[in-house]
Amino acid sequence: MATYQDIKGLRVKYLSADPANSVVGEVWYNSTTATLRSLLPSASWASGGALATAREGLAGFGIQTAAIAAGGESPVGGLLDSTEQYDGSSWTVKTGLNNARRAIAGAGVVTAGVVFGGFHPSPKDETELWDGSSWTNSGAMNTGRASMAGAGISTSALAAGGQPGVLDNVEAFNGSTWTAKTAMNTARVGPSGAGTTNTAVLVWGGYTSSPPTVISTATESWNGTSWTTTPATLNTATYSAGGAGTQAAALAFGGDAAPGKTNVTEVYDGSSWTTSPATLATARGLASAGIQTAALGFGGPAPGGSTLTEEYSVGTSAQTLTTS
Amino acid sequence: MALIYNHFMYGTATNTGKGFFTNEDRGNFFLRGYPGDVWVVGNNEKGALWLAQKNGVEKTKAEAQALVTTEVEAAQAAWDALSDEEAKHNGRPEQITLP
Repeated sequence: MATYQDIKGLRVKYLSADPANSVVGEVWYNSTTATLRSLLPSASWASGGALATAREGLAGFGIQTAAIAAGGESPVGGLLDSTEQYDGSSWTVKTGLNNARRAIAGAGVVTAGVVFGGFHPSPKDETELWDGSSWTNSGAMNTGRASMAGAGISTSALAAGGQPGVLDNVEAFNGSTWTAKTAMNTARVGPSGAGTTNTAVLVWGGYTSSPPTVISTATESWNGTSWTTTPATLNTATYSAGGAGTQAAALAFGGDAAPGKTNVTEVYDGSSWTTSPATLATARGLASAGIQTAALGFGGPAPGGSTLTEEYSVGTSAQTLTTS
Repeated sequence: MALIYNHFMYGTATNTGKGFFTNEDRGNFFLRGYPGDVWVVGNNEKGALWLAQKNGVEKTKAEAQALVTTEVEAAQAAWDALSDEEAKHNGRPEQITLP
């Protein structure tokens, strides 16, 4: 059997404390704790700044350090038009939506975004564009809907699935108008999505009937023309989960499961979903922004509307090596 | 008499936002948040220290569960008061059982 020295060309260091400047994969023996240690990649969720307005069913877009939260529903105030912007540590109240609504979807970045659909109280076709400071009404969706997946940017966004009923409809937005596209293979409500344009999107989860609520693990990939159901399926079936990343490198987190809500995080690498050891501190369905290695989850029911924000980060940490 | 080891500590603490719990905290001890500002943490030195540093108030499991149940029942009552049209788009909040 090869030894560490055979592989690395070095002997395992014998140290009284973890080294300050180790590199990923380096192994040492900590004589104080009597453990074999190594610097390994690790992921975790930490608390972020609280939303000014507690809410669920809101839209989110952007990145971890520059994100927008828009709309949703407050348990005490009904439908919301309020918009907030995150700067990596706190949320600032911005100009509200033209139309208060919940169960909406969003796409884009903090200076150029789009939100679409939602209830107020019936499913709506409304689209609003965000320019970094205010909202402007834009072209209506072909099918009024809520609880759909959204992905892309403000000039190239995709809406997939949702309700009323259980929809498989898909529409693409070009910055001013929506065009109906090929339907998904699985009709679903509350799916999540990831992607940077309306021609490369991954959609997963959602429920396919209710009642009884049947939650899907199915994952579909969109290439701009057609949907392919991937061999990869979620390990935990969810709807109203957070989603971040791209078609080939996505992150799924939280959501409604069966039973109750989940704090599970899953990582998609282009071929399969893997359950991460990182979990949300508070299980819930929530809005989201970011990329696979730096995501943001915010809002959700707590059970009466949440201000909670959590930040997902992938870094490194010194960990004890075990035989298991 | 067999001793029963409690794997978790229970308490209430107000989430102050950024820095309330860190990536390092998440690596050091079990942490879960629940309605009513209830937190369940690993029953170890680092978990106990975190709860103390957050000005947390330690609770028994029964006390913590009662706080969560009160919050959930209030949300359920609010849901029950919704019109059928509003309610059909929202699931009724479910009871939560602490670990």
